[in-house]
Amino acid sequence: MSINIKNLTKRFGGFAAVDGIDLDIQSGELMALLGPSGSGKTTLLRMIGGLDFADEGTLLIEGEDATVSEPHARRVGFVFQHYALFRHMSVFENVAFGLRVSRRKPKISDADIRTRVMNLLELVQLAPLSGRYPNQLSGGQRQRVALARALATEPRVLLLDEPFGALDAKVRKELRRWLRDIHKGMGVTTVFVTHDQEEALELADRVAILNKGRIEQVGTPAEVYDNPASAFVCDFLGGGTRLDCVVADGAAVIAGARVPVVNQLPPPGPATAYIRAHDIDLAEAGEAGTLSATIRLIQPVGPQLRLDLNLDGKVVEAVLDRHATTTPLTPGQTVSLRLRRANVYAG
Amino acid sequence: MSGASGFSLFKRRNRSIIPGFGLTLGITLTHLTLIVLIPLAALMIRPWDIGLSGFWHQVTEPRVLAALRLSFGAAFVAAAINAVFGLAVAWMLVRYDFWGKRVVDAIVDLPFALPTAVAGIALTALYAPNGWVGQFLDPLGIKVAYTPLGVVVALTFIGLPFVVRTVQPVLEELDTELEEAAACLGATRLETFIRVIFPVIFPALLTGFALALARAVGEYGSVIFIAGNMPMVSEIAPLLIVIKLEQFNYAGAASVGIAMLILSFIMLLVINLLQRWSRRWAGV
Repeated sequence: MSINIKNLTKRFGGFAAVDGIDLDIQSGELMALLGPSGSGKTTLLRMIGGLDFADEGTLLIEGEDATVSEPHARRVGFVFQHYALFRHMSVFENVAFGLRVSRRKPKISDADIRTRVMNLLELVQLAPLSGRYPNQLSGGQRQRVALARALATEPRVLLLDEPFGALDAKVRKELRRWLRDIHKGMGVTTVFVTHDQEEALELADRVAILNKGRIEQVGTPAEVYDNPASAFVCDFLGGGTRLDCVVADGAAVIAGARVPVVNQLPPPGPATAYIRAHDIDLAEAGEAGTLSATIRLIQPVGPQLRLDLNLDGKVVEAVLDRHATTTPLTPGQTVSLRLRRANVYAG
Repeated sequence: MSGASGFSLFKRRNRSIIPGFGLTLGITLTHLTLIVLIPLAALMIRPWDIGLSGFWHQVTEPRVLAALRLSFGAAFVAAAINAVFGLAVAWMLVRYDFWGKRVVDAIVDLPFALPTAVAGIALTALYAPNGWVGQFLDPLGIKVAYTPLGVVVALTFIGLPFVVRTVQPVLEELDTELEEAAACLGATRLETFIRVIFPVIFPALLTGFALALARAVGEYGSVIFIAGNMPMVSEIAPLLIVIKLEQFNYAGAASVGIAMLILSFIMLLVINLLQRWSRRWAGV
């Protein structure tokens, strides 16, 4: 179900946590709200869920005004960062909670509740643990119970607040894939909050990047990665090393070397260039358009070879393919670099 | 390892990184024996010179039965009142910010600090038929001072901090996300309280209730002033023990003491079992 947000604003004291945000979320979409802590992403999610209320602006869910309606009236499912499971209830009762409340009309028979809860537990692969208490589950299992509980009431919109934030890397990866599958299977409009750019880019259909209560950019993961609209977005999406440059003749000139610019070119003059670690190659010494740098540190990480380079006193990070790098490298050695592309922003 | 090898009381695989098991166990047993068990044992031995039938005779005396009934009945009612209002006080102190909150928070502890006799005299002065509060209750036919009702009032006064101070930390720990989750799932506020909040704080509430109850059963100082101490009507068991002692009826006093001890023990045991049952979800 589509969500339309117009000029939504929320202030805490004098501080605008969410500052005039416009955002349209399509029906069935998987949308990520990405930003650093304090960017207002969780506040925005809580306003969509009806846990916080906007000071200004409107919020439409499926075309109906939901700006001030109660959470249950919006028919949204909310998954909390720390699960918020009812610890005195079994897994089964946690999932059944939303089906047993008195507001649920018409009343569902116990047999129907049983089938529905067991189906959901089947879906999250926890059916054998239905009698356990939350204390007896691992973090990943608790998160799956929380998701099953949110899905039990058949919400129009599923909202997740940093759903994988408290889990270790392996479980996080599993759960990501699994959330994607569930989203595909059920087609429920889903919005999740994260501060992890990799998670947002990997999982979402579209990503909204927030900073200081405002939206910096909205787009598909490829769009925002390839063409960051601002220095902030570029920096947040792993922008790489920041270098001073001069924009001239349709390219960025960094320490005398011309580097192609991928984003909208700023007006000629001094600017800031961002070079991603993957966009740096080693070149033959003396080749045209290269820069000279010294190696500070070499760190093999799995298939990659990470280099910390000293370029005129600035630390530049480069990532090479470990198996394609045949020239022997040692710390202190001087090498030539070719910068393949840059994102450049005025100022 | 070599330094610890001489100490073989615990098998190696049972050894814990948490230090001091032997030490704390020793201190615990010594302390409990000296402070609790020996005095209680002396109490149990005392009425032996009148025999079991003598004990039974002492305890089933109508005046003793009436005193025990009043002591335990009033203590139970007072603890129940405190459970309800103590919960409300704790809720308010945890959930809301208001002017003078710290003062209210401090006032809760006053019954702990005040000499109980002072509390008793103050309550008597208030609730006597010509007192500040009593003068308004008297025309309505409600007599507080010198009646069992007065006993309940005094016991409620001294028991309040127990409930507030046991429930407060649990309420503070309660995550507001739980209530938000319940609201999202369509629960009303009442349902959220009954089904989500109350079960979590119930064990603590029981503890507070048990402490208030235990304290009230043994309370003496604040009660004897307001109770009026009429035999069969407003005479509490601890006072009866003192009266028997003053008459040099040591065996009789000890008999009443033992009866109170046994009743208290059964009561606390039941509350403990109930509490364990109410926390069955906490075990891993």
